[in-house]
Amino acid sequence: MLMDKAILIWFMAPLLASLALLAFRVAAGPTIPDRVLALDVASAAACLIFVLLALYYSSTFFIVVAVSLAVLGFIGTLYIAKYLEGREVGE
Amino acid sequence: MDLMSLIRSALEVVGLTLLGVGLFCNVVGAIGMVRFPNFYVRLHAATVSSIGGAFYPILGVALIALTLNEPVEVKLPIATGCILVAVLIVLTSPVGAHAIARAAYKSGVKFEPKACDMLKEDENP
Repeated sequence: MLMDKAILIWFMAPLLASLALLAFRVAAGPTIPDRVLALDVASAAACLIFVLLALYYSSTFFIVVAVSLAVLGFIGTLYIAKYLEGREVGE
Repeated sequence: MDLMSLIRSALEVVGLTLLGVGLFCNVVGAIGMVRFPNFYVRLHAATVSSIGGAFYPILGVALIALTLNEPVEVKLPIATGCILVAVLIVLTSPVGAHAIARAAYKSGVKFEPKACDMLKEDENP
């Protein structure tokens, strides 16, 4: 690895800024699908943050967090979408 | 410079480029999520932010992890886990966006001005 590992911490600053913008949309979104969509995007951004932490600490534990976050964000979005549509999940 | 260090620096440059492009897309998508006027326009910003802003930088992190100065049993699980997360995101994000868009239409989210409404024409021919 040629570069210094401390650069990776500075890569997290724009990610935290975008998480703050998405939190505004979750709080202020006029409809429920707006909030769910912002949470879906925020889970993907949080995945990226945990993957960067795994690279910074050279630890595989953060990868487990990122995988479960990706799967759970998708499942939550799908359940709320089915609930809004008024049908049972799996139908 | 021997071949291995050349490959390592090439992997690192490609990974850093992917990471930089991904961070740009992430911030641009988040700004779009705040500033776009209604839900159906915000779907565009959400897709930019989850494919361009999460899939590509996680692939870049996987490439950077291969160049770490660590033993193979530490850096190889990080790289394969990153590739697993990237594949999960690129498979599940379009499905989630499609499902939530359909649910928003069915639950009656209005949008103006409306140029055409294909779903309504399908239901009432």
